[in-house]
Amino acid sequence: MWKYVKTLQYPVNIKKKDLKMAKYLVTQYGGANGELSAACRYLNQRYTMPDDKGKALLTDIGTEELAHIEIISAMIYQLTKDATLEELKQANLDTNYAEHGKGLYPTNSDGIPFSVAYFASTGDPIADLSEDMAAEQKARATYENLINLTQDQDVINVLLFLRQREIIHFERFKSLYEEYKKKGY
Amino acid sequence: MNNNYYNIPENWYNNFTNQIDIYNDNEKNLTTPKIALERGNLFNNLYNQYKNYQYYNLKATNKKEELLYNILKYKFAMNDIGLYLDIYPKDQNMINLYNKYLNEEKKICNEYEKSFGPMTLDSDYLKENNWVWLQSNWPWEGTR
Repeated sequence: MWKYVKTLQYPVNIKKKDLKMAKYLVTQYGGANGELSAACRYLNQRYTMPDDKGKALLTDIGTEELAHIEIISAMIYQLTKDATLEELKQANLDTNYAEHGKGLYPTNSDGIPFSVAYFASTGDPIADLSEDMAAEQKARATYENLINLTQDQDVINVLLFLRQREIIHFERFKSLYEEYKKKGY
Repeated sequence: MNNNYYNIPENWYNNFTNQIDIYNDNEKNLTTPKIALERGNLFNNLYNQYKNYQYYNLKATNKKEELLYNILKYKFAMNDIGLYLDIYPKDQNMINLYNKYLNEEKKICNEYEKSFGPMTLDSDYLKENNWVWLQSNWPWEGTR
């Protein structure tokens, strides 16, 4: 069971409209290394973790990823909410508008819809944790690319926070991976 | 909603949060909950700065934000300690710290909800005649 808390994990207060940045950012919602993919990955893999440490860690990080989906979504919402049709066209978001209007929809930066093929669930804790470590590094690299694509401090602050979370998650997965290797799982 | 915004004394929370902010761990490995939230990382040895980018100093612009940021910093520190304890569940110092922060967070959350509405659907501040769940901003609308 999940409990909704009516706040973001980290505040998002973006003052400036930026449709181009919204188009880039959406990949951390519905792209291969995005937060939706991360949440689905860990929350599916947790059932076949061999002990309580793994079940707890994948549940807790999976839950945090749900909160990160909300942070990315809030950024996209704030970056696009006052956009005119003309501005959407200039940012090449008119193709997105045709089907989704101003509704949020998980795609990557190229508009390709989210796919469950972005993550695996093998039932093997060593294979799954190896994927999880790689996923955190790929998300870190994506956040760095996104930081490089903007000058807006309101956006950068949030991206720096999210990037740092990937680093912590990687370390925790790595510790668990090493422990499981030793235990011969 | 019972909005007593103007009845909250200035810096009321300092009375019980200042003493607890800095945890004197032997390895000096933990930062304060405030900095932990700002940089997204409680652990000094795991903090990894990107290029020359500095983490942002979160400054509240009103009472609501002041309370909210204080809730968020404890929630964040608890989250980071929780992930650590999932791997190292026998670290009694960290369990104690988790419990300290949990107490602080509950107190501030109570103050926030009293003035600005419930944060969860099992909040004590939903026990009113009005369905006050609708009356506060949604998280994605910003905190200002």
